[in-house]
Amino acid sequence: MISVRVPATSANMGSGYDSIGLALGFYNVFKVKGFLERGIYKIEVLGEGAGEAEKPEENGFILAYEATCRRWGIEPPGLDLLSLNAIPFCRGLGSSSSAIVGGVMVANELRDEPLSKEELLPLMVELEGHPDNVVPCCLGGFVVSCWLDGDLRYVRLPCGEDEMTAVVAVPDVRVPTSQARAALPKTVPMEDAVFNLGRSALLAASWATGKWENLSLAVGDRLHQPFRSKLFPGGEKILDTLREIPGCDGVAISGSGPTMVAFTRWSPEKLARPMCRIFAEAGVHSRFFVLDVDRYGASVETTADFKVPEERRCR
Amino acid sequence: MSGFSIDTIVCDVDVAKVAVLGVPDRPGIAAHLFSALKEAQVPVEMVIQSVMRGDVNDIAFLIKDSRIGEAIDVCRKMPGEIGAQGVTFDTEICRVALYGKGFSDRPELLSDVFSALAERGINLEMIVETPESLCCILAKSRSEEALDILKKRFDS
Repeated sequence: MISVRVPATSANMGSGYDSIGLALGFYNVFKVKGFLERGIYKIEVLGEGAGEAEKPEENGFILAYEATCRRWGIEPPGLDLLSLNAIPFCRGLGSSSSAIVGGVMVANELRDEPLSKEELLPLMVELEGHPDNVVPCCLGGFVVSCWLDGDLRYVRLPCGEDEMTAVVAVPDVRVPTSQARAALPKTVPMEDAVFNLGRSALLAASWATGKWENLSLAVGDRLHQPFRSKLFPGGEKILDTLREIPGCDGVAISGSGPTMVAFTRWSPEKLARPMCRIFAEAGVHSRFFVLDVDRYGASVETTADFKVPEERRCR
Repeated sequence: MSGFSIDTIVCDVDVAKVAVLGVPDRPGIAAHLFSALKEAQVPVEMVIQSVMRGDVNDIAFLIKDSRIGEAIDVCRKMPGEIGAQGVTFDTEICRVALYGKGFSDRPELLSDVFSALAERGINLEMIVETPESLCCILAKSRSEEALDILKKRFDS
């Protein structure tokens, strides 16, 4: 069996729109139980997305796996796949990136000499279309990244991440990424661009150096959250309320929402309760996670008895 | 004739749900989790282990809402300690329970209760039945409505 364990991610972190992402300590696990004939897929999805991702043409893992094999010039063998999903679908926690990273890493196991995760990243980003979820998902940690015409540049920040806890409130509503992107203006005032530039630079520098007292200011944003927080019940109020709670080191929309993420070095309960209560008052049930930063990113394990058939290897 | 009766219907809002997701199906895993909760003096109720394929399970249980802080401290470590996929917490729930006797002799009780709640669009998060109780976990925001429905339907 090939088993890939892939973390959730929270992109943007307020000011770092489309450029900053953080890997979080909860995971999807993709298990390839065997290879099948070309074009044959046996897919079982358990947990999040069950009933929605069983068709190969709608399964992000399979699409990424096939695209990767084709890129390397091999016809992809079919798969017997068990997908154990803990990352909520369409909630802004990187479920699609987890599928892409998983699919590419399984395809990589077909190679006689598998590539490193760093070597796989440009293809993963190309498949996703933007780097802010995929790169931390693959490598772990807090990552600043840029992607332009196939050129990927990123820095994974070293820091004392064990000091910081992410409290993630996940409401029972979905906001399609397409809707979240359509809600944004085509142009922004110069003063708003400057507002975000200063804060995103401060966010990265503060995270790298453990200057946590800067975080609540550094996650401030005028480029996307003012528009996206109106797309789901409770979003604006959570941003406004959490900022005022002592011990909150910052609050932001996770990815394109509707999940909200808040940071603290103290009591996560004191942030989780008001987040979920505000969602409830807005008529939406929610649950929450209390998460450490994932430091290692995606990992792959192949059991000793599992061999890729010779004729299906990529040389 | 069975000795079926419903003695009381109550709602408890001092509950929170914890779900440990993707727990490896190995001996000792549940012992590790609940020993850690015991050491932290967090009482646990309504433990449910899902019937899940693929050699992993989900384990969900209730705690007192007032103990959520201690439960978070213990359970957030489980992905690292036992290889679970993640842990979720839900403080916006309540427990609506019917207490009585002879519940096992009245299989229609389950469908009647669930249908009464479903008619109002009330979703059930967890269900546990014993011969003397039927407990339904649902959103706290629907607690009064659920209690009212069930009392009107089943209180004699």
